[in-house]
Amino acid sequence: MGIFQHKAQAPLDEADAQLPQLFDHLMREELRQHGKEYFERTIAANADQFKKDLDTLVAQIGTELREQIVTKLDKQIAEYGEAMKDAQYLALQSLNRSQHALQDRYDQLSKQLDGEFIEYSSALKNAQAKALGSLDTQATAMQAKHDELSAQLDIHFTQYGEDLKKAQETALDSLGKNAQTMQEQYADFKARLEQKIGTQEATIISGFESNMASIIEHYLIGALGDQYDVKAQLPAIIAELEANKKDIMDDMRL
Amino acid sequence: MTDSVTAQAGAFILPPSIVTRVDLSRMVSELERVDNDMTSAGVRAKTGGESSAMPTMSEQLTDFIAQNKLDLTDGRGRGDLIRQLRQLKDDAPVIHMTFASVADGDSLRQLSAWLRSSIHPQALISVGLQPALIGGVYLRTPNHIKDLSMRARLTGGRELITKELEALRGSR
Repeated sequence: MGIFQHKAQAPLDEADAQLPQLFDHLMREELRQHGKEYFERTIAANADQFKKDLDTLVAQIGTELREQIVTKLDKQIAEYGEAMKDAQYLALQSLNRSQHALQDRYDQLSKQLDGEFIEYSSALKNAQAKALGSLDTQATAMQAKHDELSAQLDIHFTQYGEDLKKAQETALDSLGKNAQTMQEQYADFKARLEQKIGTQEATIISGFESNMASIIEHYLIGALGDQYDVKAQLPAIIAELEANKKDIMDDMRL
Repeated sequence: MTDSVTAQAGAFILPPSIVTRVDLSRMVSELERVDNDMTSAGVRAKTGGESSAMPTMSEQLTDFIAQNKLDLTDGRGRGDLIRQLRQLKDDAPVIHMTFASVADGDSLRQLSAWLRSSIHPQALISVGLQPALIGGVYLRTPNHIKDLSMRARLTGGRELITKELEALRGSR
């Protein structure tokens, strides 16, 4: 050991020995910073490239998808068009069949109606002719009856007029007699009524006159009851007492 | 004794302020009270106490004593006076007067003065109220009635109205 104590060192060893001095703390920090920036640049460049590729891919996928959908839709629309044409054809056939059936039924009913109308017309004509004949017969009979009744009515009217005239004359005579009787009764009644009214008037006036004094006295008592005080009447009262003084004195002596 | 009391009672002069028997009764009561007071005062004076002055009296009693010249200092005389006044209260003639409205004191005093000067010196009035009389007086003496009211005059005038109405009917 002591032999190699002062042995010259090799360059690599020297470098190793000096390495800790070279790569001190600051150096390591600088290298770390440098590496970090480099890494960020690389990442950013890759990200831009990746983004471009992705946009291109998305655009391509969208174009292809659109073309595929349009193609599929065109195909389906064409299929639907065919189906619609078939359905329209079938419906037209069905409508045509119905129309023919209705036309046949219409023709059949028209023929039937024409036949029945002709039958009814002839029956109606026959019935009309019969009715007219019957009406003529009845009209002739009615005219004969009318003539007969008119003649009878003329006879009756003549007789009734004569009877009426007689009754009218009789009634007029009776009315005249009654009016005369009424006139006489009225005059008698008027005379009696006037006499009665006169008697009652005299009675009422007599009663009124006899009660008038009481009415006035009652009124004065009600109206003047306590209107005069004794002081105002005193001279009159003393005068009355003076007038009756002798009677009073005589009574007091009894 | 009773006759002498009656005779003396008949000689009393009643003042105009004593109109009714109630006034006279009130005066007798007052005189009894005065008699009691004066008797008590005399006893107190005899026993050496203070002799009090004359007791207070109403205007009616004062007038009555003055008009009749009475002396109340004598105890026996006061007793006689009380008896005489009681007698007067029972014997005095009363005239009932009914009016149509309430009679005031002054009018009653005038009427009582006239009655005492004209009819009887000790006449008393008994007052009544009857509005239906309208006016005047309805007089009742011990034995008679005199209707001097306006109602009686109207009743008496009924025939006059009837005659007037008959005359009016006749002229129509």
